[in-house]
Amino acid sequence: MKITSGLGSALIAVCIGIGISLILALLTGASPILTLQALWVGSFGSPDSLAVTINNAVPLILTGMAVLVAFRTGLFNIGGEGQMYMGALGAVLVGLYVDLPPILEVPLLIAAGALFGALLAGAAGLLRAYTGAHEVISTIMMNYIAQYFVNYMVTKGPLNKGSYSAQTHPINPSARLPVLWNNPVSPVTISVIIALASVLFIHWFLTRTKQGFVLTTVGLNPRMATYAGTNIKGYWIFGMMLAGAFAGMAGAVMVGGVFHKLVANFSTGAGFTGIAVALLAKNKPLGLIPAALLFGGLNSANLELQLSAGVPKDVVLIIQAVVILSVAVQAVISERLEKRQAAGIDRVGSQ
Amino acid sequence: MKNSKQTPYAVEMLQVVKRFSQVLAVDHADLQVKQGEVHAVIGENGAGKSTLMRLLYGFYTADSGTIRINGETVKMTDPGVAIAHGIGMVHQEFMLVPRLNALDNIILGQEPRKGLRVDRQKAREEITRLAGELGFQVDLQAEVRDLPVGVQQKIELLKVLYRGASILILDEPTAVLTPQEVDELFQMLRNLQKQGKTIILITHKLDEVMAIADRVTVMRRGKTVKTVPKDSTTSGELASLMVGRNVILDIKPPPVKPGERVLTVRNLSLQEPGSARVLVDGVSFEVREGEILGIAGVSGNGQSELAELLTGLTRPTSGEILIRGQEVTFGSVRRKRESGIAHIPEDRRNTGLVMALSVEDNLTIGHQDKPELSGKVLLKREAIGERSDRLIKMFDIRPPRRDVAAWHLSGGNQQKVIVARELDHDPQVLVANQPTRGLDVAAMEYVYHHLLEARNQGKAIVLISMELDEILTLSDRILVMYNGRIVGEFARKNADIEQIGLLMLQGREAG
Ligand SMILES: Nc1ncnc2c1ncn2[C@@H]1O[C@H](COP(=O)(O)OP(=O)(O)O)[C@@H](O)[C@H]1O
Ligand SMILES: [Mg+2]
Repeated sequence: MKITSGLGSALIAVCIGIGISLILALLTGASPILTLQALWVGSFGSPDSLAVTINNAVPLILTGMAVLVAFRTGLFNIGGEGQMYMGALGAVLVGLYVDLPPILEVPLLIAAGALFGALLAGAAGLLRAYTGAHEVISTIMMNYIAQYFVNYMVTKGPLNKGSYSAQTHPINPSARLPVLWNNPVSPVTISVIIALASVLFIHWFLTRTKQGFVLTTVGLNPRMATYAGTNIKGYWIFGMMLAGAFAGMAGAVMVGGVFHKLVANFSTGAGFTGIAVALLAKNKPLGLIPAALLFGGLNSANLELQLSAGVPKDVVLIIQAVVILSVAVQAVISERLEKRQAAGIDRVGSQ
Repeated sequence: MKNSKQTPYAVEMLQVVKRFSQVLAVDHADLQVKQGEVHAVIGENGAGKSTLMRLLYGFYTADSGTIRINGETVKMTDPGVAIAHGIGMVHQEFMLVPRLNALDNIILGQEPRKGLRVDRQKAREEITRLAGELGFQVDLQAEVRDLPVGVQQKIELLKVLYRGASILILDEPTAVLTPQEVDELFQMLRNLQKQGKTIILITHKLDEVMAIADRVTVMRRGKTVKTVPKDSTTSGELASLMVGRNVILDIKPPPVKPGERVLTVRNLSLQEPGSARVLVDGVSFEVREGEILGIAGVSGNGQSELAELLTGLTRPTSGEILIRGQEVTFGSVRRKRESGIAHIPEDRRNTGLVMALSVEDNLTIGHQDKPELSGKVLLKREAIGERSDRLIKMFDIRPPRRDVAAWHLSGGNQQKVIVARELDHDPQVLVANQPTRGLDVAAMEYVYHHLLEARNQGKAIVLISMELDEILTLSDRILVMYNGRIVGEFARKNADIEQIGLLMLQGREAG
């Protein structure tokens, strides 16, 4: 019930976003019809663009999950980007230095990515639990640390392949993610399955497991959780590690499924876009899929918009911004409503 | 209606009512203040004193009732009306602009003009004269934020006098003052009285009343319970009126012979971290099976801290806590709960419940590790549902649905969820902190019933409450807490409300 109502308001947000961008297209002299057409063709309406959209969406689901899981623990993880860089580093180490049959090596590569992401995020959780350092600050700082550390490793550091290029050698072929749909523009790998499985796993974890239940109480009311006997510091650290694991996996699927090596500054900001994706998904795991597809699709439509509709590429950014804003506004409004309810209006039942 | 030859009351408030969404802050209160007297209004925290005064000052508008000033019926719609009728109020929280100097604060809104300019010279002379009459001086150039509170209070007072007030309301003026400053203030008030001003003084300190008031009105729970001339009362009588007994529920707990000692507390102390303040000071007591130990006291005397120490939310600085002889002094909440302590917390909404979660989830929190409710990882949703239904039925939680969010429940039903959850731990010791705060009589009775039943089953109960009635109704033994210390102990049959009231209000029995 909640997911559908979440979806409903997300749809409203998307419509507002598209509506405003059509107005903008008109103002810049482009045809609204052509713009709509380009939006559709460039995102879902052709096999090639669909493949690009899917490959855009996969890391966004994972980085969105990194925000969602932390949020459900009551923490703000702004460090998805850094955790993704660390995950890519962990993955490339496996891809370069471990040689096993794919059936073992691919899971190992993903696991290494998850572990590296989890360790970085866990450090922020640890700082929060034992020094009180706010996780927003520490995760933002760690973004820089992780990105520069990884860049160093692949430029001047031991992983540099030599020839003046800021990247590693290619990973072993056995470490590449198996391809499911060999689209010539953008092959779709089993990373799709990893992303979907992550969504189902967290949905199950939060609704069915004891640990997920306790984590939810910690996230909603740490004071109450403490009173009930929960070690909330432990859950903060655990929640951050779990969150970081998903961002780390996002890095791993980029290495194992897209680049097949680690390149300096490889990210186009998926770690940050994940924040918007989680927001649009209203922090519900199943909501991440449509939200990531939307953002992935908009990015994928970018080129088509410029080429066939003559719409400047910034329009896509504007649509994204408007969608995020209208979700945020709706969130504020519904929070107000809930507060009013909590304040005693709309009570049911009597003594 | 009043005899017109007699001088009318300076202030007359009749059957005044003011409700804030949930609380009836002022409940058909009557207040009659004679011209030229110092009239004290006393009552515990939350009794409604400030609200009553704000009604008089037009800060709030009464829901119903009549207000007369010097015999004339006045609609107090805003402070402007009150000021026009010569009423001035010094609020409990000062209302000064910190970055303006004293002079500008005093004349703010009433600036004397000379052409277009503010005539500060004239204002300064006027204010210096007013201050002189009261017997003090203030540096009118100093910025208010640099001045000590005692001086800020004088500025507030000057502000009121400068506006020509003849009826002065002072809301707990002594709360922020040192004893010397209190003496000074009272001297000033006597001077003002000599000038013919009428003074209404809010306080909850009995010795102040005895020192300065002509007559006293006692408030309790929004009602004005009695008005007496100071000379015909004693602080003992005032104390029992203030904390006093509203027989709301006629409950007579059956006698139970207390069994073995369950909870032992020895010399328990808590010092505020990073300061010298001692919040809980060498508290010792024991509670036996089938016994309710009531802890009485005015709020803020260490009772909340004591509850947190007993339940593991705070670690003590020193002392000992034992459950059936086993030491748990520094144990975590989990450790204390495992050893058999359950806790009804004072803050229902923020500590007792997760408001956004369902009744079922709220009943389950803290029980989720029980083997019948979960495996190593998975929750046994079906068993959890059955247990919730059973508790909802047993404790009559309404609406009888496990899927509604806690914030949709009324306060009474929220409390039932907490009581159900905590008693379902089958604890050895139950710490109940303010278990009926904000509940209506039916819900209150319900909670009492469950507390007594738990006691009759042999549980040891520590009942902390600001409501003396509640303590007197339920407890087998009563301790009085004042300033972090236990200052008195009474068996149920020897409980004397006057003695307990004095101990609560001033920590000693002699007036
Ligand atoms: N503005 C307000 N909104 C809601 N409740 C209030 C407000 N002001 C006071 N109350 C409630 O009214 C009651 C009386 O408060 P108050 O008049 O401040 O008492 P006192 O001054 O005697 O300590 C308390 O329960 C308090 O919580
Ligand atoms: Mg007050």
